[in-house]
Amino acid sequence: MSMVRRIVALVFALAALVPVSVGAQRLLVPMDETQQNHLKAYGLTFHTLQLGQKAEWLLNYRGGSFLLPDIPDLRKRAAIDGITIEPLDDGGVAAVRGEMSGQNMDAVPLEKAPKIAVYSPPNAPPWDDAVTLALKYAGIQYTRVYDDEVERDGLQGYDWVHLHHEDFTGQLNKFAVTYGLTTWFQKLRADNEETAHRYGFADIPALKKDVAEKIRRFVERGGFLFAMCGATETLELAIAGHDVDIANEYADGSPVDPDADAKMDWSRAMAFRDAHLVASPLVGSMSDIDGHQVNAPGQRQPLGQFTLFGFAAKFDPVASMLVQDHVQTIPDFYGVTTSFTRKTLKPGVTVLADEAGAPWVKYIHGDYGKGSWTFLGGHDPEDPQHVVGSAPTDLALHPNSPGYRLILNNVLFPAAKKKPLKT
Amino acid sequence: MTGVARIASVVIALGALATAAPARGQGTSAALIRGMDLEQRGQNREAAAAFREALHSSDLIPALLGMERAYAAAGLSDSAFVVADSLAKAHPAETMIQIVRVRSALYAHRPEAAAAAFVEWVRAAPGQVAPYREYAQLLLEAGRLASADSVIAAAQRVPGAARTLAAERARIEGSRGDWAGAARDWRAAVENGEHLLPAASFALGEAGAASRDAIRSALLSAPVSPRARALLAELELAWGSPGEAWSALASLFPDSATAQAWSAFAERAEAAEAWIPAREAWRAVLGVECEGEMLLRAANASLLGGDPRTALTLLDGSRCQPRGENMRQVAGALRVRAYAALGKPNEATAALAGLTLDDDQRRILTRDVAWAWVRSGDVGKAKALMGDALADDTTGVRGWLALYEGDLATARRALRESGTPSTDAVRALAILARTRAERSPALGAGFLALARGDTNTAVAKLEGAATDLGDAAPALLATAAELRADHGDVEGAITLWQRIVEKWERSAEAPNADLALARALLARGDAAGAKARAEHLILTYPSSALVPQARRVLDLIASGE
Repeated sequence: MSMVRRIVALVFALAALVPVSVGAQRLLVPMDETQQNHLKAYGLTFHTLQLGQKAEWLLNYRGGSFLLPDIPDLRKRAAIDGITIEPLDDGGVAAVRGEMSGQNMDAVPLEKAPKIAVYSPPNAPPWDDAVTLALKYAGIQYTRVYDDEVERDGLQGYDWVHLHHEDFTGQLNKFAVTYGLTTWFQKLRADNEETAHRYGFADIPALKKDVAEKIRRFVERGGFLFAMCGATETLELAIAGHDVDIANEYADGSPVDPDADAKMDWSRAMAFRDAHLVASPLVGSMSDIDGHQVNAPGQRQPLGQFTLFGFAAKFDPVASMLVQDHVQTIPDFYGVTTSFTRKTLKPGVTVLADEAGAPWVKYIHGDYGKGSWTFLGGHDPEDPQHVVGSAPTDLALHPNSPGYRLILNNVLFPAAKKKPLKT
Repeated sequence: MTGVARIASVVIALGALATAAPARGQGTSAALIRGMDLEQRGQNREAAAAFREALHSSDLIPALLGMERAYAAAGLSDSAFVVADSLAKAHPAETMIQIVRVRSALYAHRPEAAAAAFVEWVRAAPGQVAPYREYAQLLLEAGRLASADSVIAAAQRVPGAARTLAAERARIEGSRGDWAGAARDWRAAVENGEHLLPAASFALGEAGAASRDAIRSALLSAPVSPRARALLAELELAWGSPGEAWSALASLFPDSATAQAWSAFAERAEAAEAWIPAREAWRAVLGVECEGEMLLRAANASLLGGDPRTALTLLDGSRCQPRGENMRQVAGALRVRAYAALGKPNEATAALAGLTLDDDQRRILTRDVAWAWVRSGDVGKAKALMGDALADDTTGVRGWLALYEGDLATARRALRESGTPSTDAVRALAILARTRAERSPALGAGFLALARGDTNTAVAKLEGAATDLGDAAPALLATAAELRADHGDVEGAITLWQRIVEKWERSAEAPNADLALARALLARGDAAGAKARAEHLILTYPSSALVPQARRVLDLIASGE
């Protein structure tokens, strides 16, 4: 366990000993199978923090339940959103704490609604990104940022940044071969080129590498990063390949450096090491980081299911928060990057979920500098075969989605209280 | 399909062929017969041994298949592979042996052995597509898409493979979500073999709404292909777009083959109760085959589709008039019903007079004519026409006529006693159940105006009746609001729904009115107003069945913010 995680674990273990406000009536938001709308329950908890109230996340207690103050506004919102709540008097709260004390469970105080930024093109529809879909559905406020904001402000002022299927190698997901003639792709390329030139970069790969570098610094200085789909892999390639030409000729006018693999500096990367680039512009995949190779003809691997690992709530609260769910085994789903091969993981990376027996893992986490990152492979947990142009997922039809819960775990995780150690 | 099931299907296919072959025992080896008997009794291991013995007879292929089947049922596909492997070396040109060899290796979970068997088969059958097709199909069944894809890619060097393997390629593309590619390949596949139409329709039918335009464009693209159009028509029917289904077929060159396709489509459209597309298809058939029966089916579909005017035009204007007395009687009956639906009682009466009918047929058509009188506004003539039959009526006519005259007591009883009530009858009964009044001419006039298609008068009368029948007021206003909204007067409907919610908050209609208000306000861009109504519904009527729909409205508002 790293030093940062050990400190956080101790802080949370101590904080759990201090009741948030003795004698108050509480609302228990159960997160097990009795919950009617798991996703909106996260929004209710977030709303509690926005009201300046405190909440607790009861790790491993009934699927990772929340304990909220019993105030009329929250009861009203729970009723409107169809969220199951159980009012508890002091005796009830004591009984819950008593049950938790002897088990692998712990209460984490949540005190501050994190400021959330979602890195996404200004004109992207919300349904093209599972995180914005989840945030919208749960009613959690966020700010959309893109290259302009990152270049100008460097993500200052945000606690949490999300990336989805952006290609930080600047090759626009190698979509040029398949979608090069479509209007949307041509506009995407023109917009990106315009931004690159505005900030003095010669081409899109140069712009995206710089954006990746600013995101890396955001994490290094203490930010929380959550990335899904292709952003996980390409961010790391852009960071490790900061001084290497890893983009194809159609993107930057020069071919990929034939020695690119050898020149990559993986010491700068967060999660991966020793990956091999897929240099061909005709093959949709970027490297051997992805285990499923969804866009590489003849190499695509079938979808299975992944299992969430259990962690010690009292000693490893961060990992525990990230895997809170009411089911442990979840059907897999494709994305530009679907999974992460075990051989390319750096030592010390925490695997949060994997597919038993497969050479890949699905969900990983780690510390970097003063911050931390979490990567989840795949595009949309409720659209396993997602392709460009797929209809938007209607989350009203999936209010209990265990896959989407993983995303929302990451949203609330930065709200966890940190305070100086007593020792 | 499981391995055993797959083998069983092969057996069934062979069984079908066997009907033309000599009876069992005539030229069939004793070992083969014994194997089949043992298999029948579930003694699979013993059966497999007998089938193996029969491999040395002239029944090599049936014995091999029997052995594969029996070993699979006994969970010993590996043993089948060993035998098939050695047989394939002795008979490399025998396709069925090669298939069993690859298949049994796959069922025995020996993918490397299957791949090696496939490679040997390709070598033994140079230039043939069969090894690629069979192996790819087996891999697809096993869900090994990437491997199947590789096999199909490798087949491209064989002349004719692209066309022959179109269906397999399409299945892979479909499973990857590449629906445009899948549609292009299914098109090629059905052009090669019409028997693939159901498989293509089933596979492409799974595409989501956002992918359907790509499929449409692939199947509609030039040159026009009747089979591709037939496939698209099937898909549109499955997707619930019968009008689009007919459009796919309508522009085909009219000849006898096309007429056959149009007839088949019209039958399916009728089964789906897509009456207007069915009528259009029958009309198109009439342009090629001038048959009276087609004319009658077109007119009937038009009537059932709510277009009596076109039904009459067809019956009176077509050159393809029905021949024979029976068909002429049917045409006459359709004419009566068309006039009745148009509210032309005199014409309907005249048409009915010329028909020779039995009592039941006449009673049904007389009731239609009575409805024609109702639609023309003359309830008295309708009652007179029904005469004594009215007293015994169980179809609801008696109840409706009483309601039109404001006799609520009789209407309540008669409508309740009628068989399966129509939607209109349910609506009337819902209102009648809310009042204890025995008479209300205003309510009767409202329903009569509705029957005549005069919505403005109906709304005015129902709103007026709400003043007289205070106990049924929210139900009457809710009906009036619904009618106003259906006819484009949304503002008028909103006013009525607001009255219901404010004045009769505890009534059964209030949650409905709240939801209708929320939807109407959202439709005109008042998201805040819509949100307030939906939240009011959820908080005021938490146990209402409409709460999920109110939440849906809130989700729509949130997703648009």
